[in-house]
Amino acid sequence: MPAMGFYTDTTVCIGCKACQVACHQWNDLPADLAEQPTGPDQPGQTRPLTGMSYDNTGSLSDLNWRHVKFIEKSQASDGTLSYQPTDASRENLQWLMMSDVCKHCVNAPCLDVCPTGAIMRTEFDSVYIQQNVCNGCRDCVSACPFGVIHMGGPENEGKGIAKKCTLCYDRMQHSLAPACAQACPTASIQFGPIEELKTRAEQRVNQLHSMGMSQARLYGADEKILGGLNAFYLLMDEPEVYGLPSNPKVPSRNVLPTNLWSFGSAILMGIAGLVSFRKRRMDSFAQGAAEQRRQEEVR
Amino acid sequence: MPPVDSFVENPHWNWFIVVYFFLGGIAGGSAFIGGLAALVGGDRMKPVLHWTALIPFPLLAISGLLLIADLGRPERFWHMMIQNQTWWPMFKYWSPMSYGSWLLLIFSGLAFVNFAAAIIGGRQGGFLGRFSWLPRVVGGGVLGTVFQILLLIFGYLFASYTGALVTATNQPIWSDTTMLGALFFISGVSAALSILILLTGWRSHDHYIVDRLETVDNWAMLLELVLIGLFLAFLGSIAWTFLAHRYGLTLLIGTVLLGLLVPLFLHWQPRLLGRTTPMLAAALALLGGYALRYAIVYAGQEIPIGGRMMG
Ligand code: SF4
Ligand code: SF4
Repeated sequence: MPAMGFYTDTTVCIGCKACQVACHQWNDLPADLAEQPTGPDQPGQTRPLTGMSYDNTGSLSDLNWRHVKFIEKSQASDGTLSYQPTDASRENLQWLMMSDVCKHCVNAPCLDVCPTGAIMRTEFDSVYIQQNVCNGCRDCVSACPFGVIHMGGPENEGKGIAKKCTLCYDRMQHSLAPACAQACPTASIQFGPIEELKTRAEQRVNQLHSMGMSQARLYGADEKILGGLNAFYLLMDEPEVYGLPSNPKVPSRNVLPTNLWSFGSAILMGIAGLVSFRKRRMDSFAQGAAEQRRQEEVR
Repeated sequence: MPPVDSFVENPHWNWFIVVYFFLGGIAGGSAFIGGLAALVGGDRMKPVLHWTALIPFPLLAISGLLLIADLGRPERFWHMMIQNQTWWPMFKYWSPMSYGSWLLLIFSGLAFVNFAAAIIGGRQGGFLGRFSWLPRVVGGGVLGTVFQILLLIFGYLFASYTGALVTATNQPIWSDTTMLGALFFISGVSAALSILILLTGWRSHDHYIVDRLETVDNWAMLLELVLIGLFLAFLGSIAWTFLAHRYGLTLLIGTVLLGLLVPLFLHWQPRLLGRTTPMLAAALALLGGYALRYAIVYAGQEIPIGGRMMG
């Protein structure tokens, strides 16, 4: 089975959120309502405005496995850039829209650390969390450099178990495209074999470059980012502008060096202890103490 | 554009984890010190060995409960050790959360044997008397030596893995350094020495034991100061963000000043406050050990660095 995944061309995203809705429908995810009513006579369930452009869900969450970002970029005549919707003096406004999702990393940090084996790689090379295995330790939350995984479920409140995009594993087993890609009306989200998608993406970058848009670039299409992302992007600005780290790393990189430092410190501590607790040394100290006591008694 | 690229979410590892790191550090440190004392100290270290046998197990029992309670699905805690679908053992040597669970299990077993042997002691009759062979087996001979070496090794591994655990992530501060394993281990040893000083100091007339423990503690504290320096150096430009935040100040005031510099000074001037001087130094060092874990566990999760969402 070839590796399957998403190529997301952010230049054609129109921010319709069809992908978000389709994801909710297929996966039976309820609306993520930040404010739940506290009693029968309380106002109904609403979601407060985020204040961030047309964004109404704010971020990926246990209930939002897709999230369309609306980044408002302004460029003043002197060239200064701003990405803050709150900046009063904005000019030449431009929307950078991007439908965010789990990247199904080839060297996935979440899978790297998961101690229960709940996170596994499927035959489609996607990263899948088995809901009957996860015990909610939250190590994967700390590990994912994209802030994808959130804890949820009936026992919510920051606890529960790990939730994220499944790449519609159930649909794929029946040769159906993931719901979001199926619903995307502009083909911003394209689904297929990764190798094919890469070729298509490179052609698109060349096309944009030839049209003078030199800022077009691919993110995660090559192996530099965690061995490759099975959900990779065509971006029109630096990755950080879209909330993507430019150099994410695999957590286990730190394990060996950390243990070498600890081992070194244990050796030093061991030497200090061995020298100080040596029997002969203790004997002479004991003798000294006894001597002192005797002298005190004589006096 | 954000200067540092962190978009990692907060795992909400709260005070359960801080307390666990603290108790686990003391348990590991006690076993490490007990192992050393048993291997070279002989009979002179008996009062210390009594306590290093008693301390770790209860702390590990509390630790295990805290960890289980912290899970989103506590009843599935055993999934860390056994794969629930295949019934094969679950073990990843490259994931501290995984190998740490095994360390906790094995170290608890060893600590329990040591604890039981100390409780049984020289008892002859009754239920406990039936196990009077246990203290003899673990208390001397080749088996006893092997047992103490195992305790020493597992005490060290256990006290240091908690640092590796937070470092093997992508959280800012935690993953920006490889110093936390060593730091947590040394601080655990120092905290264990402080408890031993408090426990042996108030009733032992053998003042030289407290004196020896303090000497080792001096080395531990100096090493800890060096490691904190290296830790900050590894953080680079983030170090300033960290130090200016209340968690950074907690580390500076709680750990460096009150938990290390003041106790070192009191060790150097043991008569400054009369007989209570070593006790005060030990109590402050314990406080410093707690402050270290509190500061680092929360700093990694809560200090806003880069574009990550807070809360
Ligand atoms: S994006 Fe995050 S959750 Fe998705 S595979 Fe990569 S590390 Fe795991
Ligand atoms: S929370 Fe669940 S999926 Fe995440 S690392 Fe822990 S056991 Fe694995």
